[in-house]
Amino acid sequence: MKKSILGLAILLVVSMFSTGCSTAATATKSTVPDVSETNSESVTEDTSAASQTETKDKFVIGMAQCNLGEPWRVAMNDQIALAAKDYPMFEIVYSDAAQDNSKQIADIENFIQMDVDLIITSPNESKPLTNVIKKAYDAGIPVILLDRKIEGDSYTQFIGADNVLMGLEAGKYVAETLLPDGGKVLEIKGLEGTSGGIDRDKGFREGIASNPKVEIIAVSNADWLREKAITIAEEMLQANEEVDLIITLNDPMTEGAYIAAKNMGREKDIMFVGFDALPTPDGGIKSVMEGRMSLTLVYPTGGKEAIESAYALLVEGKTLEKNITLGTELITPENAEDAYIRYGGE
Amino acid sequence: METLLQMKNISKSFAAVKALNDVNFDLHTGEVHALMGENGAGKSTLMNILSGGISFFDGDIFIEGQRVHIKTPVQAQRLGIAKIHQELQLVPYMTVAENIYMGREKSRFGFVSDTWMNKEAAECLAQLEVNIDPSTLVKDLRVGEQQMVEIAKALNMHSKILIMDEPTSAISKAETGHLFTVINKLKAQGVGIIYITHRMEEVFLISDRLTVMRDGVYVDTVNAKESSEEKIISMMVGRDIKAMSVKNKDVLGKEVMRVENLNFSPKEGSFKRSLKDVSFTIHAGEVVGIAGLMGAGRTELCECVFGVHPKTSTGNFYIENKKVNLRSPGDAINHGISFATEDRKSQGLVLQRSIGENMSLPLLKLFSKLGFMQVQLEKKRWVEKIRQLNIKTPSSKTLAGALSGGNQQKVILGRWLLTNPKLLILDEPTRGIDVGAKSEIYKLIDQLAEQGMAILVVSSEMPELIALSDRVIVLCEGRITGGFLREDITQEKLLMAATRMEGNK
Amino acid sequence: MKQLQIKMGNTISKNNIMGSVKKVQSVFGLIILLIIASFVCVKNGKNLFLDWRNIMNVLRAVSENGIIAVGMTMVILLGGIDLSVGSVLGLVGTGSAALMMNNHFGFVPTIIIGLGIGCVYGLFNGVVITKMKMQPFLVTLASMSMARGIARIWSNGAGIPLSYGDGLAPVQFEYLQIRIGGLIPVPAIIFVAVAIIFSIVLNRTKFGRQIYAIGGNERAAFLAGIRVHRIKIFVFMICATLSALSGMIHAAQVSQGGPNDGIGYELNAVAAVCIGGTSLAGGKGTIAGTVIGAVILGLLDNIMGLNGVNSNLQLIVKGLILILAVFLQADKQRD
Repeated sequence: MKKSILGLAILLVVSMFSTGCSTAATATKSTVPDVSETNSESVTEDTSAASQTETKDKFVIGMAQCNLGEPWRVAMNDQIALAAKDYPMFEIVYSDAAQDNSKQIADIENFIQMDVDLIITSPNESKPLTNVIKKAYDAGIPVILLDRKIEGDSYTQFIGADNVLMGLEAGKYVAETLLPDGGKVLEIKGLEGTSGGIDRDKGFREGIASNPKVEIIAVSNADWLREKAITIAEEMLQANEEVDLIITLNDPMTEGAYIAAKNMGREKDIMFVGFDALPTPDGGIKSVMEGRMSLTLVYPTGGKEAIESAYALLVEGKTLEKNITLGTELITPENAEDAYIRYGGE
Repeated sequence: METLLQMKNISKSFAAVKALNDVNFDLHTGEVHALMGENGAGKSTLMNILSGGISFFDGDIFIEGQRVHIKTPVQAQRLGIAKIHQELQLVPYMTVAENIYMGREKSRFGFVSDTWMNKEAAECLAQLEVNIDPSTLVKDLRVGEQQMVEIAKALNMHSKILIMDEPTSAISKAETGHLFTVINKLKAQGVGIIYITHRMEEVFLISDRLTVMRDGVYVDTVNAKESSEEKIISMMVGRDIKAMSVKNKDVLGKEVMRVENLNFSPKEGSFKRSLKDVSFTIHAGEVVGIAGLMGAGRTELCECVFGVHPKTSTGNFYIENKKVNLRSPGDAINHGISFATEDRKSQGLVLQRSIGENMSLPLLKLFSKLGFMQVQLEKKRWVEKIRQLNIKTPSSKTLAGALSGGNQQKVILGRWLLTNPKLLILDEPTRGIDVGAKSEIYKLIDQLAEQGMAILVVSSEMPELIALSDRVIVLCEGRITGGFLREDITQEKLLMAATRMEGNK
Repeated sequence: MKQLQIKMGNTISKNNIMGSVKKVQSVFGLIILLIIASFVCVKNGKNLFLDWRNIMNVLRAVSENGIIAVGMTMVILLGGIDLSVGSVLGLVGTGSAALMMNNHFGFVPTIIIGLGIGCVYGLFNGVVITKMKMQPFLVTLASMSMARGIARIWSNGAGIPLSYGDGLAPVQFEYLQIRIGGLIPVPAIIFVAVAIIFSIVLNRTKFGRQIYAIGGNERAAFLAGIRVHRIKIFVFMICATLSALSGMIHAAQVSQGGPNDGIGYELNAVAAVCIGGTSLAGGKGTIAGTVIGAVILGLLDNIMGLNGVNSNLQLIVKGLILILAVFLQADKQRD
């Protein structure tokens, strides 16, 4: 019996050291650089990383992801890891909260405890995570928010595309190009409390306002998840005989809605619109290329930009702008193939 | 007629108890041979050995002159031995046909043919003149019909030797008639049948020879035509054993409990015996024994009095002449009735808790103040009882599961004695207890009666029952068939009353 | 070895809390983990683990699960299970937020109603299980779904953010998540208090005896005059009420009443209970064990988090630990 406990202990320790200074991204696409474990000689006693004029040669960045169940976030982590390759002084530590607010709070508390030099995070929901992020920020740890915001302004920088703008562009395209003579639209939203979702929805409704014949006849939530969207879409299609277009606020949900429509034999009669446009085999650009979706918009993860900001702040000692708004691009059947290559798809 | 089966010098012990002592038994082809004896005589053990349920025993078995080894039921089956069990061994959620062909389904490439099975099963049932659709689920049948299915299953195996253990206990007279017709047909085919029953008239109707066992020992084998009920019973009982102690009970204490017209109709599918019109009284200081064969309803009687079956039983109960409702064990306990069950482990003890806690179980309210247990007070009582009953344990904190069977029994007694009841019901109080402990318990029962407790005792050991009781009531198939005062009791009388069927008072 | 085990397992030591802690095998696991943690979580010369702030973080993180697990222990001791705890947490978290933010209820009424919802919920579970003679697994699986639905209807599907002050939620509610002296989290205090109270209940009261008896041998308990149905209903009520309490603490900690919060919490609670040595068959187990189980789960997260272990690997390790812990406990029960 005691032997088994000992065996378990060894297992734990081994797993600890094998991933010890883990920079492994959770997706296997990017190769992981082997960061050595040498302790720097010039570590200062002062553990608060507020001072930007320290000459350190090693920085630990904590990346607190909210849900790696979303492919877009897997891509975000991948892009961070990829960008970090160019900066050997950065060691990235990852955590995933699987959509649980409490877990993410605990993850960030751990990062504070570990006294990381910087935190990058996408908060699961804005209100619940505000306190702990504020705590980190007030303790002198710079915080870069990606894609989702918190309440108030206790953070160093927010990097995200303008979701309102994206929604607006999508709305205009639907109103002018896809449904110029009007039509009935089903909308499937993400997790209610996320700022990105709220913004896209807001923008979309503004965008279609120009064409009063475009009508949103039903709205539902599928929490950004593909499987959930299949079920939700089935219900919505069942309840609504006439549907011309389905828009969901991210590509996985749109794929799910497509599957639902296909199961009911109605996919040819409906147009599908999504957001994110990842250049991956399961991403939105491919969906447009293969004719399932009529439109998606590129939603850059900002991973690369986050690392570049980190470098600017930690190494070069520059001050960061509060907001970096990333651009977007509409992906349609006309430019999909080209875009796929441009964005680095294989 | 040739010798089909010979069992020679069979002995078997379970721990220290010798269940069979050098028993001989033989069976001819085309014969119905009845095996008789009281509870605990060894009939079941002997037949268990024959049907492969017991792997290790002393002695030899010969079939058609050849020595055979029977260590598993499968081996027994292969040798052509089939058994109809007293406790039905059917799967309730499968159909009649599936049960009949269990383990022997004919299949093609692994697929079982339902139509084939149903057809064959229907033929088999028709032979027994039983009208059951083979695709019915067993759980939907009456107990009598279930028993016919069990019989059909055994018959279907086309065996040479057929063991029937109380095959008619749950079926009607008409169905019994059909069974006997089939038995006669089998006899004509040369099948040897071993028939175990307590029903005298049946035995003399159907069997050719009878063998009597008593206390694990072979007594005698006789031809049915040359014997009689009285002769058989006296063989089963042996010498009349005198009462173990002399009691002078001229004056009866006041009436503690009166039961009037107790009727119990158990749910379909439960293997309990129904009770009909049971009435009796018991007085302070009186020890009343309840006799009867296994399955006669003795335990059910105790349970009903203890409030275990409020929804399925009716009757009037009077405690010290006041009418009471006994709708739950809690009610019974509150009215001063205690019940030490037959099966200590599964119904009495919480094995993972200590002896002390087990004893306190009915008295939690008494031993607590504002919800908190008064452990010091409890402990005092525990130690008293442990000493009084001579329970062998290092401390009252020992887990109940760690004790020997006899000591476990004492813990249960300890519990019910702690409640200081007016009426103590004991169901098989000395089962599984060694001789030394037994006499301690007898002494205890005497003492308690002396102190004015009314005691109801169920026991399958006739001598014990007779020795303990002032009065004995006999149950047979759910009815009271006899009541005897101490002076008039003999084992023969008890056995006769216990084996009478309905309408034969 | 078996003999030794039987001898060791023969006595229930003194009916007090320390006694039950000693009996609990999971203490070994806890101690080993603590040792590992102290050595492995060192970075740049600083011991990240052996630090008051970190210990308090861990305690805070396990409190919600711990409170639920205390209730779950009692249900499992009876031989049952309650799968609806996570949903009740969500329901009461959402409900209390709604009452305070939308209906401007004060602190005390909110707490009372919140706990009351838990009581009623447990009553429902208990009555259906006993009177309708249905399996606890099924009944609580169903009520898990119902509570989730009620929570979503109450909040219209969205979370209800909590802000404190005049015209908003009462300030006292925020106390449910503050750290006293900047260090000791109130949720942890509540967790410890709940654990102590119910440990006393199980070990020293009539009620506790009845629970162990019913879990150990329901038939024997029945025949000893114990009102089995009543006790069962009461225990389910306690479990749901503790989940309700945890729900309100949770809402305070995430500053939001979320109808989707608590999903999967029932599994964490059962894990804590099992790692702590309680048998799923009933009749055997202690609150102390559950506390240790909950802490072990929290420590695992903490150790792996502080070392940046890959999150997928974390899931695997946790699963393995659960199997190991249950296996170790099972040895004892095979007596």
